[in-house]
Parts: sequence; C-alpha cells; structure tokens
Amino acid sequence: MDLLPSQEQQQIVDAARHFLEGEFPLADALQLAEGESRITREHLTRIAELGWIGIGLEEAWGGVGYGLCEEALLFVELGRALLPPSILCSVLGARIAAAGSTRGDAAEMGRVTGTILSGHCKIAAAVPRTSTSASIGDVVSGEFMLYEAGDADFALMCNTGGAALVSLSALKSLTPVSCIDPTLSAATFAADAIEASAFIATAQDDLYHRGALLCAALLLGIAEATLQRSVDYAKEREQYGKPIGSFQAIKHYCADMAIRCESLRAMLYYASVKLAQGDDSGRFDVHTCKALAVNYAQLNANTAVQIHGGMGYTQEMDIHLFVKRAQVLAGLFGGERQHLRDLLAQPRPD
Amino acid sequence: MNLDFSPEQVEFRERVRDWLHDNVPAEKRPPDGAEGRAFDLAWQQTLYRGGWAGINWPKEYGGQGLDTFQQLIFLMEYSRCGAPGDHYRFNGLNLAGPTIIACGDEAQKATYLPPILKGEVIWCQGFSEPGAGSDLASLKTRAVIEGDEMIVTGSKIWTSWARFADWQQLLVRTDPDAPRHQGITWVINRMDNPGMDIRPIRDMAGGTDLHEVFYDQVRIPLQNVVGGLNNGWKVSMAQLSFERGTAFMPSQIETQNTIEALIELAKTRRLEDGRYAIEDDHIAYQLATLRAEIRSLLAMTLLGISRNERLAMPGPEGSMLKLFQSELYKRITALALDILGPDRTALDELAGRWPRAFLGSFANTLGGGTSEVMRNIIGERCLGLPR
Ligand SMILES: Cc1cc2nc3c(=O)[nH]c(=O)nc-3n(C[C@H](O)[C@H](O)[C@H](O)COP(=O)(O)OP(=O)(O)OC[C@H]3O[C@@H](n4cnc5c(N)ncnc54)[C@H](O)[C@@H]3O)c2cc1C
Repeated sequence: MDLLPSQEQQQIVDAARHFLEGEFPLADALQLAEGESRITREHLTRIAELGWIGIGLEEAWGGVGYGLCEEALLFVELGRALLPPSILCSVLGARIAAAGSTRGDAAEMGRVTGTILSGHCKIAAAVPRTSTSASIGDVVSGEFMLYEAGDADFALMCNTGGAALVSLSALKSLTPVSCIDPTLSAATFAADAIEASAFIATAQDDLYHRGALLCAALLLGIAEATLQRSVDYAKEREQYGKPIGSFQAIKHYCADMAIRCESLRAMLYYASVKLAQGDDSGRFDVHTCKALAVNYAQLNANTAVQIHGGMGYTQEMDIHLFVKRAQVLAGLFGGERQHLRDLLAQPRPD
Repeated sequence: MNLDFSPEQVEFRERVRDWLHDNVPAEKRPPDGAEGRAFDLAWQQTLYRGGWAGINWPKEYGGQGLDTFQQLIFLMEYSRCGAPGDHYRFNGLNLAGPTIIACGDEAQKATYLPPILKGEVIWCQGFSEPGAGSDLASLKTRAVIEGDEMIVTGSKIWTSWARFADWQQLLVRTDPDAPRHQGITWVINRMDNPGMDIRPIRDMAGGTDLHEVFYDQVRIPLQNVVGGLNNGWKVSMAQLSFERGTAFMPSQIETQNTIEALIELAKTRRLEDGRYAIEDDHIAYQLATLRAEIRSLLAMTLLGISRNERLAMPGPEGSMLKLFQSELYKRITALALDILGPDRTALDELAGRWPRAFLGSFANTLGGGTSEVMRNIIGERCLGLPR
C-alpha cells in the first residue's frame, strides 16, 4: 500500500510541469483576444509528440501504455496550467476511435486514431444541456453546449451510457455563445438523429467515469494553483504595516483552501487506483471525487479573488481565469448534483 | 500509487479478524464512571492476553512492535468490527505512554509502560488551566524544588477522567523567571497524592468526565520528571507527532460508521410531510456531500500514512485531519437532528443516540486544540504564512 506517486510517476509530473511552465505561461493567456484558444494546432502536435494524448492508451492501439493513474497525474498539471478541455477530449476520443477501428469502418477509424494521437485532429467537448433530452449512441440527438468548436474536427459527447465522436461537418447550425471563459469559444447546437462517426458503450470502455475522473484532476489543478497564488500574495502584499497573511481572516481562508487541496488530491489518487483496478467501489469513488472537485475548485478559486482584493477582480491578474474555467469544468462529465445523487444511491462502500 | 497488500499482510488481516470475531465483547460499554473504568480495563486485559496490546509499542515494554501497515490493518479491522473505543484508556495509550517511550528514562519505562498495556491503570492529562487554554505556555501552576521532591501549588481545568485515573501527566512551572517556554516541566503525578482536590464539571451533553483539579502543596518525587527539568514544553510538543499516521484511523472509520448510520436513519424516518427524509432534496444533498467528504477522509488517512513511510517525518496532515474530521462530525450530528424533525428534542430512545451525539460533538472542535488554533498551525507551519 503506497498511495503516493512512484518515482516514475513523479517524473512524468515534474516533466509535465516544467514543460507547461515554459511553453504555456499564464501571462500569455492574458494577452489573447476573446475566444482565442490557448493552444494552436501546432501546439497540439507538440503536446502529442510528448506522448500525452496516448499516455493511458494501450500500446497495441498506438498509445504509450501507462494507465489511468499516470493520466490523472498529468491532468492535474494541465489543469494548473489552464490548458483547454479539448486535450481531455483528445485523450478520450483516441479511445473511442481505437475501439471503433476494431469494428465497422475499421480503416477509417484506424486513420482517425492515428491523427488524434499525433495531434492532427482536434476534438471539441459537447455537453448535453439537458440529460433527459440527449440521446448518445450510434445515432445522436439532443441539445448541446459545445466548447472550442472553432477549428475542431470532431465533437465528443458522453453520458452514463457511452461516448460518441461526431464529425463537426455533420453539425449544421451552430449558434455562437459568448463564453464566460475568455480562453474558450462556445456555441450551442441541436442534433436531430445525427449518425456518429464512432460510439463506444460504457460496458465496453467506461469513458463517462474516466472523463469525470480526469475532469476532477483538472479541477484539482485549479484548486492548487489558486491556493499557491493566494499564499504567495498573502506573504507579499502588506497593509497596516504587515503582510495580509498575518491576519487570521486571510490565514484561515488559506488553511481551509489547503485542506480542500489535500482532501481532493488524496481522493483523486484513491479513485484513480480503484477505477483502474475495476474495483466495486471504483465508480462510487469517482462520483465522490468529481463532486468534491467541483465544489472545492470553485470555493478555492472564488476565495482567491477575495484574498487578492481589488486586483483579484481585474483581468490584469490571472485569478479570474481560474474562476471561469472552474465553471466550465463543473458541467463536464456530470455536475456536482448528478454525482452526489449517484453516490448516495450506492450501497456502503467497503 | 497502489492499495495492494502482500500475501503476508492479507494473512495477518485474517488472523486479526478471527481473533476480534471471537473476543470483542457483545455487551455495550456501560456509561462513564466506575463501571466504564472497569469495562475499559477488562477489555485492555483481554487485548493483552490475546497479544494485541500496544500494537506499535516496542516489544520490551509489552508491546507488539508491529510495522505501520500491520498497524493500519489491525486498526481497520478493529474499528470496522465495532470493538470498544479507547475511552478512559485514551491518555495512557495515545499520549502519556508514547511520551514516556520517547522521552522517559529506563526506570520510568519499566515502571510505567507495562501497567498501561496490562490494563491496570488509567491516565489523565493535567495541562490546561483556567488562564491557559489555547495559550498553553502561559500556564502558572507552580512547582518549587525541595531536595529530591517538587512541591506543586495551583490548579488545572478540563482534566478528562481525573477522578477515575490513577496517574497523571502534569505540566508545571518550575522556573518562573525563564522565558515562558523554557520554565515548564512534564512530570508524572499519582492521583491519590495528598493535597489534591478533584471536582467534576458537568458538560453540555450531561457527562461529568471533565474536572477541575486543585493542588495544595502536593509533593512529587523528582525521579518522576520526564525529559529533564524545565524541558517540559519540548516533551509535550513531542506528543503532537504521535497524532499522525495511523492515529487517525479509528476516528476516521468511526466517522464513516456514523454517516452510514445516518443515511440508514434517513431512509426509515419520515418527515412532517410524510416523505422519507432521504427523499428531501436538501437533506439528500447534505447526506451525499458528507458521505463524499468522509470518503476523502479515508483517502487522506492513507495518503498521510504513505507520506510518513516515505519521508519518515510527520507531515502537515495531522492538523488537517483533526480539523477536517471534527468539523465534519459536527455537521453530521446537526443534520441528524434535522432529519429527526420534532423528535429531535427527545433524549431517550425516541430519537436514539443522535441528540446526545449532537451535544457531544461540540467537544471535538475544542479539545485537543480548537479549530481556530488548528487553522493557525496549518497557515503558519504548513503554508509558511507570517504570525
Ligand atoms: C471535551 C474536552 C476535553 C478536554 N480534555 C482535556 C484534558 O484531558 N486535559 C487538558 O489539559 N485539557 C483538556 N481540554 C482542554 C482543551 O485543550 C482546551 O479547552 C482548549 O485548548 C481550548 O482552551 P480554552 O478552553 O481555554 O479556550 P480559549 O483558549 O479561551 O479559546 C476561546 C476561543 O478563542 C479562540 N482562540 C484562542 N486563541 C486563539 C488564537 N490564537 N487565534 C484564534 N482564535 C483563538 C478559540 O479557538 C476559541 O474559539 C479539554 C477540552 C474539552 C472541550
């Protein structure tokens, strides 16, 4: 029993953080025009060259052959650096395409898997606006919110039943939406019995829970980044002749943020191991992890604004980007309420 | 990242499980008082005879010398099967005993450790004073050295279990002129020592386990000083490091048992409007949130243990776990009363254990350091924020 990352896993984390800090400093994000993506197509291929998109995919399918744990660790770093959710879609999309390549249109899906893994294919996240009206299968219907459609090739949509890739050219009328997160473009669309390019049922590969877990990892990155920024600022900013971090009101905010990070990180590790093992409680633990992640990332990001005072309210600092991204991720792969309902419905976990 | 146990560890788990199955008493622990004391000591004797006393204590003092993972497995099984809690045994097993192991001399270890494991004595802790609560270092109870004795005069408060205890770990001021952290001594005192007056205090949950203790010229041999004269602050700080790793396992599992019991309650209790409590969205939301947070408490405990094993030094998780868990427990019991509706005011079978648990829950965020003091510690020691 050792819940901490192994040496090899820690190397993946360190290398990822180093690369992201060098290549994607958040200061750059503040210079972007509204809706302009933080990663260009060229960035995506560079990320793919690092093996990140296929990190948890079996080697037989062209992946790197690590597991869910390594994938989750990497996504904490992607969350901290506020890289967009399309990377998560690429990681899951590669699994859909790879599984699809063993069925029906094998040659075409084999080619798609290759382009996803090499970063030559971009996948946008499509979130069902009401889960009751959305139907996701070989044929897709329903109303969706779509992120990063701009130069994407596919949309990925997922619910508890399975996950589908739909060619973006098959979606007729996108209605652009001005997105709360200025680094993401958004649009809505209605699908009326559109044929999916590939679909994979949960029974075959549970992408709903995998996606929820990786989304929780992104949210942990936000929770930790906003804690770190708050603590740094509290040590440096002075009022009444001393650092604001010496005031208990601020110190205790930071302490609570730290506990949320510790709780969520522990839960992410635990749930990753359980889900990867296919344990009975694996899904319970993922529901737990995503529900906590939504709650804690929002609390930490929102508190960080308060700790930064007036500066926190501006777009001159990056805190607002975390607040906004947390709202986007809250809705991906099931919201807090959905996961809480699911975890309460389960029997006592062991 | 793994949660695997070796075949030997799995085999060990079976042994623990079998022994507990055959030996855990069927009857409930009687309420506090002399009967509670007798029950606690009898159970400790059973553990000792079975070879399960002091699982992490060195073998030479009657302990089992088990490694961290065996402790973890033992405690998980122990708490899951509903074995008796520490109750009056708490201080000897978790605070006084480990302090003597860490800081005592050979004679002290030989004299004081075995009786704890054999179930012969109960210990209490005389640290807090009327004027020294969170600010423990401001304690004033005075000890004057005279020959090979110290003569203690002053008063302590909040001493849990004092009138049922045999021995006490006592903090006294031996050098009033030294800087306040440097004039304190940690000493072992007998509770039947002449010159002591012990008065129970009734707590808000109805219990009488808290006490005021007055000391009038109480004589204690200097050989009872642990860790050296005027070194008591360091000795008592060493206690903090015992409250890490596996120390949180029992209360963590107990909290999990409590939320599961509450979920069961919500499935069988009807609200004023006739629905089952769990059908109410607001109640269901709170139950699910607590269930999730308590699940993460398990993960935090395991992560803390992994960190201790890897780094071999106390991590920050001790204060975090204490704060997180005590606040969660308060929320669980408050929600229980909400679920009980009008029955919430009944202190008997009508409402079960919940109203008393609610009243008792206030102790958790005060004793052992208040939540505010825990937040100070996390802010300053873990995050490096200025004082
Ligand atoms: C059930 C129970 C059992 C106990 N058992 C024992 C025992 O066996 N032996 C023993 O020696 N003691 C025992 N205690 C005492 C316990 O350690 C003290 O109650 C605790 O340290 C708080 O001290 P106080 O009660 O004097 O409160 P105070 O220190 O007066 O605190 C009052 C309030 O002020 C806040 N406060 C104080 N200082 C600060 C600060 N620096 N920053 C922010 N807020 C602050 C506190 O958080 C609290 O809200 C027990 C207490 C309880 C409730």
